[in-house]
Amino acid sequence: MGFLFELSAGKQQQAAYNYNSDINERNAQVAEQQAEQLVFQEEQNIVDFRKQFDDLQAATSQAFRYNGWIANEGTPLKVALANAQEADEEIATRRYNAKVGREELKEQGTQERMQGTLNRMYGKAARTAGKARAVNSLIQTASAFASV
Amino acid sequence: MRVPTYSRQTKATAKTGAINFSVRANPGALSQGQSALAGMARSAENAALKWYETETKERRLSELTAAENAFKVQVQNQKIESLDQDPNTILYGNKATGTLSWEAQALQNMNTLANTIEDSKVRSSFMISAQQMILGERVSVYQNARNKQIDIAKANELQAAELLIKDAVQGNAAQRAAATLELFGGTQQVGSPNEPPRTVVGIFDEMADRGLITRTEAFNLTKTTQQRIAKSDFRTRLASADRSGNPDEAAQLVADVMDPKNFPNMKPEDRDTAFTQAVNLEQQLQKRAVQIAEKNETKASREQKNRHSENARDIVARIISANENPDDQTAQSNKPSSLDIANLLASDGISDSFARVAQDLINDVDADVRDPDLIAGIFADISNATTDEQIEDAVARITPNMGVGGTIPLQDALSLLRFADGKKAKTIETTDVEFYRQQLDDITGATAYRISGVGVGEDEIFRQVDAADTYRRLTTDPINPMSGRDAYRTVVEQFFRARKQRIDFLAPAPFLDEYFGGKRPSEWTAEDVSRARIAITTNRNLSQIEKTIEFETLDDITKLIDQRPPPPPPGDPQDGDPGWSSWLPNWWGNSESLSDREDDIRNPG
Repeated sequence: MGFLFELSAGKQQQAAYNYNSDINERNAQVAEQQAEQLVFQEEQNIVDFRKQFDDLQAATSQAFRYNGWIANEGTPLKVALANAQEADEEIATRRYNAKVGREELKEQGTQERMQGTLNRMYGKAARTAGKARAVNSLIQTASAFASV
Repeated sequence: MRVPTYSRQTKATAKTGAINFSVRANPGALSQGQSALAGMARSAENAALKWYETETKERRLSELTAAENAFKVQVQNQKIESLDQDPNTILYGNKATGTLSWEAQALQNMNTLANTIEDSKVRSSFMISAQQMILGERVSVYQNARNKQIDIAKANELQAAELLIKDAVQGNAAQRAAATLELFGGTQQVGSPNEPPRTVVGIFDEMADRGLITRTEAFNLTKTTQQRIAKSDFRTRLASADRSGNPDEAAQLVADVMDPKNFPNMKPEDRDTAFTQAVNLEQQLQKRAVQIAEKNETKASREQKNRHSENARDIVARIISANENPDDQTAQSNKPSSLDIANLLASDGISDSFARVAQDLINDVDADVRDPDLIAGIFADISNATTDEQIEDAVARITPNMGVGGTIPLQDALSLLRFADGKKAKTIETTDVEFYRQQLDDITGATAYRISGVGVGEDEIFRQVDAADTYRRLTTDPINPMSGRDAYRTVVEQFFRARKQRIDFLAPAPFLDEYFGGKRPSEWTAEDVSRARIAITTNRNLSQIEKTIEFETLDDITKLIDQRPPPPPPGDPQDGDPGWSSWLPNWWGNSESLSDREDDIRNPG
């Protein structure tokens, strides 16, 4: 009768591994979603940044004007262009960082998925081991019977 | 107014977007299936191996056991056979007959059996086991063989010792000396007196030296043998004394056995027994000597009696022969004279009393009265006698009753003497006569009367006495004696006929019956009786005793005729005829008429 318990134990171990694998899969999906959300959130932030930068440029132009400068030429223009350059670089950096973050999260998802795959493999192996142990138990029982 | 400027705030991250994976595959967990399969395979392999191992072991064990059992049987059979074999052959074999020793034979059997085993491991195991078996049994078999060897040697030595004991007991002086030396050892001078004496080891000590018996056994055997020889010596002397019949020799033996110097090796209890035996023998021999002396006396007396009896018989026979044959010169010359009688008396050949009787007989003086009862009594005593002494005692009663004043006539005396001789010689005829005499007494009622003394009348007693006397006369007739059986039949017939006729003597006698030719007794007349008397007297075929009987019968018939009443007138009823009242019994067959009685006499029984 021992072989039945061995079979059952193998199945239960596989079920546990599959459960863990499902969690890994979910974690992977969460990570992927977080990755996408990170990019989306950064784009939103960039949009907000652009508004704020537009305000800054306006303030700068205003300041120049206040100071008597023509805002669309000369230094004010250069300053405006420098600010814009900085803002563009800021946005690019942000996008870059968001992409890096997204890739990291994707990597985490991949890792989770890999862990899930492993867990499924473990489950399958555990089930196989259960079957083998069951057969082993049967063989030992038969051998014991035969040697009586 | 200050002009605001913008400097970028965000630095580019140093991260690459890739992370170090922490996922690690667990080899144990991942390979547990294969590991379990491997374990399963191992189990299967182990089980298979175990099964194969078990099967092989079982097969080999079975094969080994079978071979061992077969060999064990062979060894046991060989062991049993060895019990009947010569021990030397068992131990060393016999090259002459090509017989191997027990061990070699066992090894040969082992090799033969081993060659039939294919499995080398089984064969090897069998060889080891078989060799151990041989080793174990060899000890026992060889021990038995050696024991048997020792036993045979021991038996041979003991047998030799027995022969020596026999020589020591029964041999002459030289044999005794040699046997004693061989048995118990000592020194013996061989050759010239100057040479040192030869030392001889006793046979039992030699057996102990050879290891056949222990020293204790040797000592015990030596002692026992010495005691046996001493005992046998005593027995020899006892037997010698017994054979000699000399009480003095027995008395000397008693004295010798009382002295411990004599028969020194005899056990005290044996000496006591021997003393008792010697004393008993001495007493027996003394008693025997007395008995022999008494016997000699008795023998002399018996010889005197026999001598007297034989001489008396001879004298009586010669007198009778002379009287019966007056014309025979030889018989007359053989008739004893008075001088013969006197000589016989002087030489103790006859007794004084018979000398007087013989003198009377020579002078033709016989007994004037005959006493049948006395004669029958003496005849019965001789018949019943079981010893010669009893016969002599009965015969001794004859002589005093012979001659003048006696009641035994010469003829009767001679008949009795001859019957006594036959009885002593235990002849068949005498035994026959004695047997039928007893039968006759039984059938006539004499035995019953003698035992009880009641139940018969006087006439029956007369008939019984007459029957016994007639029987005696017929069987003891000196010239023509009748056999016991014939005499018995004759007398019985006459006895019952006389009883039916109610006469107290036996009649008719055979001659008279024949002479009257079947004539009825009722028709006998006095003239018939006279003629019959003449016929008896002149008949040469009848012996004297038969003539006497016939004459006696005639006398009795004469008395009957004298007593017969005169015949009744013709036509009257005859005396003895039944009356009218008896017609029924007559008709029924119980008639007592004269004719019926006559018929009964003619057809007795």
